[in-house]
Amino acid sequence: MSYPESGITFCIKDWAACAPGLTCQQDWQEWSAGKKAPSVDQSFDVKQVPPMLRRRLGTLGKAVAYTLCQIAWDAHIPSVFCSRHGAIQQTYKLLSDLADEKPLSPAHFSLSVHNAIAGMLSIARKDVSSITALSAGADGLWQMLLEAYGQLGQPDVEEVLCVIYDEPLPELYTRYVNDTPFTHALSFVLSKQKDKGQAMTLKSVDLHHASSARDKDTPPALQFIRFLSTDTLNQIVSTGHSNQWMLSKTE
Amino acid sequence: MSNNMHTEVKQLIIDTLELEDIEVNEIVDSEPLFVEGLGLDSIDALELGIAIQKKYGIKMDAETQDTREYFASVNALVNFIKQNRH
Repeated sequence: MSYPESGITFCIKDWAACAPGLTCQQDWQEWSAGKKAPSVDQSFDVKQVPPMLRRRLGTLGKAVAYTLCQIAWDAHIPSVFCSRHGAIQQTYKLLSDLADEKPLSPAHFSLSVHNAIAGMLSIARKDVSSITALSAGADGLWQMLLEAYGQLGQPDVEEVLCVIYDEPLPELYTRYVNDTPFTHALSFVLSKQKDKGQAMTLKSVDLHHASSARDKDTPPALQFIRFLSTDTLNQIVSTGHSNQWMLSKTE
Repeated sequence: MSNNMHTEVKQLIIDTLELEDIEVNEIVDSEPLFVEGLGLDSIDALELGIAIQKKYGIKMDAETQDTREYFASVNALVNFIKQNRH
């Protein structure tokens, strides 16, 4: 697949991010400046989700719901949900039960698909718009932006809701991948209209081209939250699977 | 004794189905558990079936019409467990 040399340009209209103890843009500004850290309290107030659905959302699902409550609860627009590992704590529990030959929880099994959180929240939001659920390894954020940008190319699609989320891996896996320091979710609305929000350009650059590896231990979604929260930060470069991604704020 | 059993089954329902906002005394013995009343769904029925199997050693047959009746209310569920537990 090839990308235009000049990159793709879009606008980020609204955004909301959430992690334990970091629930508003002010919190994230402080986190970005190194003045605030996530807390241990994992509860998120998501009263807008009816109780019988809410009980099926784990911590990760509630974090996602929390961000949607902030910016897009009633927005009935196409959405792209992206997570590298999905509800991995729940998946791990199911796999452990399977290994131990214990009966599986039907409720947890029924939610073990990658689009489960997106599906449940579309029921709660009474939204019948199209949903895409992505998993793209360490490139998730960038592939989500490309997917959403592609959807903006369809007739009658002015805005696309993007949601990216992950939670820490169970200890068994951390020797292979350990890329999620804490549970987090980020939702934002991607628009093609330049007058709506912050304009940005995304480019794919050769691996040897750029050098900034400062953030290699921070997952792209968290780098992106820092990018959105920090006025003085105008560019991020992130190493992907086979190239580097460069995202710049533009006029 | 009967009341204890009712309380035990209600607690099992709450714990198994993660009904975090509901307390034992809010579940009425004779009210429907599914759709109306408590408002449980078909996945809850499967989940509860497994919990009953684990706790009381009773295996429920998902295919028979009787199963619907056993799940009708807390009263029905308590009667079913009493008759079938070993």
